[in-house]
Amino acid sequence: MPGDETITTAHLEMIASGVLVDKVILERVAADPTLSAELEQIRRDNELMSEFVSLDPHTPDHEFDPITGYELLEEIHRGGQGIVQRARQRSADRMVAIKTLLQGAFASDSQRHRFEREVRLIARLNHPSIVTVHESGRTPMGSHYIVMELVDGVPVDQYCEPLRHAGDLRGIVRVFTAITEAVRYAHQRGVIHRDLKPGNILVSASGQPHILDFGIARAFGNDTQAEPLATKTGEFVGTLSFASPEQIASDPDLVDVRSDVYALGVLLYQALTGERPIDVTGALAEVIARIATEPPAAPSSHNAAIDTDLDTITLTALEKRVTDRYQTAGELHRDLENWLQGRAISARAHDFWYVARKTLRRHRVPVGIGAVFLVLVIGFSITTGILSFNLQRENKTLNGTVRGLGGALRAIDSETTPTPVRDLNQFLSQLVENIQSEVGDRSDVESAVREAAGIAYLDAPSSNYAEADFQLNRAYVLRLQSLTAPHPDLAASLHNLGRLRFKQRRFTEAETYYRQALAMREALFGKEHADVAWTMHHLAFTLQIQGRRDEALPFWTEALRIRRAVLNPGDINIANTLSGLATNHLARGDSASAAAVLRAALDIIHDDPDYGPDSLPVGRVKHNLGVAFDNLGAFGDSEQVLQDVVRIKNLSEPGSMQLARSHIALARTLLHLRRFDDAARELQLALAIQENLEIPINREPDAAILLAQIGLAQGDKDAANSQIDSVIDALAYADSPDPGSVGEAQSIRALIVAADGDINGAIEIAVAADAWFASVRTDRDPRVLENLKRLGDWYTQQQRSAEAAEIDARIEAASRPLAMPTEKHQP
Amino acid sequence: MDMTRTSTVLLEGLKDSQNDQVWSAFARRYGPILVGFGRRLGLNETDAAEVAQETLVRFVEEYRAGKYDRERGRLRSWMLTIARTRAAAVFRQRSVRGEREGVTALVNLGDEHTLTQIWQTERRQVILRAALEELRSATKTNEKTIEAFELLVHGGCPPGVVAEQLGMSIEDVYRAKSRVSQKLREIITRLEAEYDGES
Repeated sequence: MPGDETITTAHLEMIASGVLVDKVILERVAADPTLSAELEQIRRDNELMSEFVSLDPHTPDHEFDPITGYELLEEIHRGGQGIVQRARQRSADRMVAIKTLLQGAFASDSQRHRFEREVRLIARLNHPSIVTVHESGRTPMGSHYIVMELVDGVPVDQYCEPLRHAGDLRGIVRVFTAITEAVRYAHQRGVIHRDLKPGNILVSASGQPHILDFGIARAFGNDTQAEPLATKTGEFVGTLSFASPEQIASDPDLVDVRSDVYALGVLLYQALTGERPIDVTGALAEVIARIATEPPAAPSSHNAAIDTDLDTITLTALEKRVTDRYQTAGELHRDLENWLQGRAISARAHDFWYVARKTLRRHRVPVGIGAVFLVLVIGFSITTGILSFNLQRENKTLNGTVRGLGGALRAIDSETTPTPVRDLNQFLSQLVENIQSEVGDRSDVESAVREAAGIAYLDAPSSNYAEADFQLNRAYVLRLQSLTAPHPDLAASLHNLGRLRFKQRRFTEAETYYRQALAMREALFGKEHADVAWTMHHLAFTLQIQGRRDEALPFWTEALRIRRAVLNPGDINIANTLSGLATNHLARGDSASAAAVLRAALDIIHDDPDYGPDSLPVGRVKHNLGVAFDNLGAFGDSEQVLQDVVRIKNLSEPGSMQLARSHIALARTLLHLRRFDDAARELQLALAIQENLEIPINREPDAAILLAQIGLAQGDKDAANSQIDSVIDALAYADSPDPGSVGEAQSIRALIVAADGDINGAIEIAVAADAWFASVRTDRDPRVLENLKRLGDWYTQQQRSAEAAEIDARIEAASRPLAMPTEKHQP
Repeated sequence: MDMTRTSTVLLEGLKDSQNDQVWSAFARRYGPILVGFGRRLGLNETDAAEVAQETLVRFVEEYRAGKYDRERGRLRSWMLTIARTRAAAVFRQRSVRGEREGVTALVNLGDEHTLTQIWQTERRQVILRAALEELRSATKTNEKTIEAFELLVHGGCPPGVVAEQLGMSIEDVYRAKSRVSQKLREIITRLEAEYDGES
């Protein structure tokens, strides 16, 4: 190549790529600063290019989800609390809905904790009509989210509208039976919805409802509800229609399952009529006043196709006073079912003639013989004359009759007999309604009738304490006005008021009434009298239930002494007091004495022709005997006795919580015998009963706690852990959980934690358990003792010898034979 | 790609953000580096993506919890520590399950120096890709010019062939190469600076 040729970019490129190596040209480039610079630039360009050549063209195409494992898709809804998005769960390849709460949704840590606990509770709900919560957590950015089942459906009001236009009321009620069933299910598990409204109940095309956002309202909860309504008017108007009077009253303590019942009533009303029960337009203050006081118009006034029963069901759900409403969603559910089946609805059960008519109609009894049939319905052989007689003219007969009835009722001590007095109760409520006008000038008759009615309300299977309270107090006041103390009727009034307060769990008041009744009866009759022993028996029980076991003991023994002195040796009341005394022995940890006393009680009941070996009291007394055997370590005897108890109770009180408790006691024994599968089976039976009776696990947690214990014993630590978690969560939710149950749950939790190797953690929890036990159980209680023994072992293991010694001393003291308590409280 | 904010600014945003958009920007920036990193350690595609996801989540959580002390080290070494731990966990699980495939890491997870190198390589790759993308989408550079550059780079074509194919002179091809390189270098410098705001 000639030495004078112009050097172009092409030459430089060739030099840079090593194709051109001509020495002359290279020297010329080197000598020329401009060319050198250009060559340098080309070389750098090539270097950069080579980086691109080696660049992996495959761009990693990953989505990094704010919520691990979920691909967020489009927004479904944006509301005050947060955003709901459709999302795909990558692992299961299914569509879900994710609710992300606004940041700053929680004012405080405690609110956040409550929310998290709530979500854990909800996640355990498993019901076809409740939207399943799959999981929850926090995004890395700190927002809370809840992953839920994605539901395809329309709000319940929209779903019902065409049904209403087609006149298909049964179709509407059918949807509501499913909804109320689901709400009942959740209530059972300690979860209240608090914000039921059409938008929270989606109905799929097949008619299956899906309830959303269970319990979420509570999580945002009480704090905001306590705010003055005016500050959140704009937001509140939407749900104001569904808020119950007690919610409007901004008293979060008053809001319970019955507030959900009210909201269900509003939804039902709207579905049936297309109208709202209460007009919520206008000034807020007026609306609030209307919700609190204005009774809604009967649904039938909007829709003539609605019959009286459906009117009654809807209006009962909408009662202003919570006590007048259906007390549970289950009650509302059953009445809707009753309506569908053409049965009598319970909301009108107080209406005697209604029930009678309905029963007649269902059984197609010719009206001609109806009058006779009515008498059979109420189950008492009272002649038709009594139902219709003129009170003024025949008050003398009435007085006798009522006294007779009252006496009959008194004989049925509800603690030992659940004889149905429901129908008599209805009869009396009719009687009482008339009493004021008919016998206004005969306070002796009126007080006797009211007293009898009060007892009926108190002891009826569906007791009504408010009504009992009113009638018993009325009777007492009437007697105070006409009688001078001491008087047997006044003493009876005091005694019955004591029973009422006891049943209302107002024990200190009950104690006062019983002490007054006792003093009056002793003044009237002296010591040796059946009525004195009777009141003493009740007083002992009242002291004992307050944890005053040692104070109670002398009253038990004295009541027993008197009853043995004045009654026939085979009298059932002696057995009753023996049984009470046994519970005192059990509570003080003296199981051996308890067993002896229970055997004596059993002998009496066995021989009583009215009861016999398979009777209800035998079942209950034997239950305690089984428990005593278990405490004493006689597991074989305990199993045998409790198996028999289960058999008896299945005859005498099937489906009752009493039966469930025997299944639980049997499970405990089987657990001690290490027959885990048998024990688990008993617990399932107990839980099924509990479920059926709508008794939430936070009120009767024993079965659930034992299940955890069985899981642990079988080595399934995770199952045990989640089981005990659910119990503790539910107990935390309860207003006043039984301290003994909390202690037991904690004690099991400690065991699980220890099994995980965290001994210090276990110690901490076991100490907490011990503190819970302290108020209700003695160290002699086997559960308390077990907890103490483990705690002692753990202290020893951690070489905390001072604490271990302290525990050992307590264990030692609890194992010493029991001395009789001092007799200073001897009555 | 959201590369308009330095990492420092992004981190600030993570601190008190009211929405999850910052997360997206953050994940887009560091996610691909983490995936590449995991792949080079010997993880398969799925595991690498999972480790990346977990690392991002953990990082943001710890950052928001105030556990990241800027004085104590660069963002990179902190994130690297998290990623290494997560990756080690996957390898451990693998060997527990006795899976033959991918039982061991390709590199010594304790070798800080090598890990840092891998990180830097992956980071550079991400930046280069981002630069290319930006060049295509966000600059006014002539279409043909870019095409010429791409044929040179990816097609591996000699300049003469490129010129013929695009109906350009060979000088035009060289000019295109120079212009695009210049542009890319500008973009890369800026992106580097944005990532460097991470210190």
